[in-house]
Amino acid sequence: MRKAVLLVDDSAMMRKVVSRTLKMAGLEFEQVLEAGDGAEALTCLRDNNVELIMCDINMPVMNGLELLQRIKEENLAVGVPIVMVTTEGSEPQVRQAILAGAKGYIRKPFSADHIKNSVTPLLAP
Amino acid sequence: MLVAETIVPTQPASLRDRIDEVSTRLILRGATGLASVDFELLGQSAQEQGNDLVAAIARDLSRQIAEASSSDQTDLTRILSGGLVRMQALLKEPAVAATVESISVEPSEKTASQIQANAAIQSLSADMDLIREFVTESLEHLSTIEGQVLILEKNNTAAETLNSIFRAFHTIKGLAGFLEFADVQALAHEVETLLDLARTARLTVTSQVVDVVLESTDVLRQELHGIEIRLGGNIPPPSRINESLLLKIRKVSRGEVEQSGNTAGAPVASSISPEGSGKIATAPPAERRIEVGRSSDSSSSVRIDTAKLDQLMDMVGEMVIAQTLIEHSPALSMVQDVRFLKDLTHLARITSDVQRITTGMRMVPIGTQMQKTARLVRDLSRRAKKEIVLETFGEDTELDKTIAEELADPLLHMVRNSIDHGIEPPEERIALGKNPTARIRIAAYHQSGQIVVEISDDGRGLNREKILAKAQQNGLVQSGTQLTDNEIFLLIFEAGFSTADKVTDISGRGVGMDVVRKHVQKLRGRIDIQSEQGKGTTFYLKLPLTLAIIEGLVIVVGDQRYIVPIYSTKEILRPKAEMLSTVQGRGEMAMVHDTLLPIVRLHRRFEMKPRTTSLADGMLVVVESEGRQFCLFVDEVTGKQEVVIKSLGESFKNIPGIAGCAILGDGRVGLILDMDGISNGRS
Repeated sequence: MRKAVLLVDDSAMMRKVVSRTLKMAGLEFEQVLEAGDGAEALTCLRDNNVELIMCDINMPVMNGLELLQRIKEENLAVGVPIVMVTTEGSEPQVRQAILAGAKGYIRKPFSADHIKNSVTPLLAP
Repeated sequence: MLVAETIVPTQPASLRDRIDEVSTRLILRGATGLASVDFELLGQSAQEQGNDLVAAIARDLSRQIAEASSSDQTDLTRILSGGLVRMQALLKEPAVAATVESISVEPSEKTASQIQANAAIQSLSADMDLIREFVTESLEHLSTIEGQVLILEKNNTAAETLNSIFRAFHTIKGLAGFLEFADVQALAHEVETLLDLARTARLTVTSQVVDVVLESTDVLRQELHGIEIRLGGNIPPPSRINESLLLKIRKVSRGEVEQSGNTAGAPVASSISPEGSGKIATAPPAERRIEVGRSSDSSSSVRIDTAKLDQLMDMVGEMVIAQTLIEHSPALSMVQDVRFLKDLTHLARITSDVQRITTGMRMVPIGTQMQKTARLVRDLSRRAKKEIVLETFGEDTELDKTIAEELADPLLHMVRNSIDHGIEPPEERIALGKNPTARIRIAAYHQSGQIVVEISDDGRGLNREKILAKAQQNGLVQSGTQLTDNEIFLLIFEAGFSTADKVTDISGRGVGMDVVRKHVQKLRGRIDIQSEQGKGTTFYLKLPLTLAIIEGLVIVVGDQRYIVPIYSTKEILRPKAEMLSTVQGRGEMAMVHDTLLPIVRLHRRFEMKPRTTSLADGMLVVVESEGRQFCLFVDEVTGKQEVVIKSLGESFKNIPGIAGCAILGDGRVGLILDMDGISNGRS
């Protein structure tokens, strides 16, 4: 069992769906932390250690790309893989996210297999 | 990296097909659509193919169905779908996780991701609770969208407004994708694309854009209700999502892009007004709702089934009664222990706090219902070619959820009525020296333990004489009857009453206002009207704060006590001999304020032995039901009391004339009378 994951999405239900899919892919966490936007995610990261961050891009208050920037600036979550979860994903957006520090990029809707292929390898065994 | 290539069907298609077929049936019809034998057969064919694991799972599921009781269908559905997904996964193995570079970008080919998605998604899309949650959340998004779009129409460059509408569609699309509602996903996608163009300033928000967004909102809402109906095991009306709607949206986004070089894509604000159609002024509090679905629901709130809330409410009612019983117990007068009495007072205080908080849990702000009227004003004012500004006040005023929901229809009807009958066309207004832009105002506030909703317009006002003439013509009022203005105005709520000279497609069919009164009465509320010819009309809807408690008149017949709800009583009197008469074919009558009212002897109605059968020795309670007044003959009226309404349970719930029961101060049960039932029962 892994320690903690942070799910960042403005839809509570989407956070639930992501959490369920992680579980189906065999990634179980003792603690599932949730944030409704980038600002909440920052607050959460200042107080908690997580092993994985799954983050939406388009959110109110502070979007996913801004969040990546801030995480870098504040030196938070060092070495923690951040996977962007989004419905869009144009080539420039993917590049932008990766340059800003994202380690993975998956499109909604995704399945447990997508997680196995794109998220599991990012985590320590 | 194409992960899809790693999925090679390793089993003959037949077993997989059969599992898929069973899964589909589970999704479509739930656990009831499957029998134990279905899994037995799956197990057999898995065994034949030498797949012991799949066979074992199938047999296990077959046993689960056989053992499950009919009550826990939801659990069974979950177990079955879990099992089916496991079987599907086993058949897909070995799906070796390919080695991935540090960055992995998923293939965008639809086919690849869809094939892969199937197994895992199936278990999400078979989860009824999740689907229900999706419907609820999406409906919330839709009402946010509506409010925001109307703000957008006023200010077509409001970036955050555009963004929040975009986000709402985006979320619906994403969730629909996971739950495999392809139609919803497709429609949300089109609108999202359109809005994306708008928010990146590649498209000007014109009234066409607003129209198409609102239309999509309506269609989506219907679709979501359809999903709900399907969940309930019924067949929903056909979907309105079709290629032509999608094409229309695409056209709007494309058409405007092409024109953006010239000036054709005129902004909303200036394109509407010259046509003389509606402008909406929603009060600032709506801004607050931009943040819907954010922090508030992530950590500080929990969704609770309303049935559970009702149950809690019911139990709290019991608790309050038990508390009253203890407080009034004669045994208490013997108690000398000061400490004990102090604790008892403490308990009483806690009980009333709990009651207050529980009642508060069912409270919702009225703002959502007001938003709905904003939409109506917008659409209707355009159609009727009248310029109307809607002003709303007191959106934060809270009222019981059931009342708020029931209020939606009457509110819409009354606003509709104001637009169609109350407000003059702009030319007429100008001729009268009025502002060509009419004003409709909806305000909600608390007043002496009631919620008051005011709906006022500055239109032509009600024509007292015309209404009276029409009522006499229809036989609703005998000529010569003295009526107050309010009483005359209230006649417009009679069934089949309409003074509109011509019937329009908006109103004037004489239905509507009648429905308004029914709804309001059902909620134990009342309507008053103030109107001045040429100046306008104000409707006052007065509603109780909660439906769980009523104020009632305690009456006695023989050795029984009954409760007559205060809202239906008009007057209590001891009849004098000269008031009483018997009219051929109509039975006993009493002349009350120059009006002949029929008398209903409650002891006859419920076949009991009264203390007196002589009318002059008892009391008459004048009550009103569905606009008709009559007198109840009772032995005695003992007082007024607030009671918690309790249901009589399944077997007694449909007795005409009885609405429920309540426990009275001394612990005895009193039946609450339903005046509509009694009125219909008298012959």
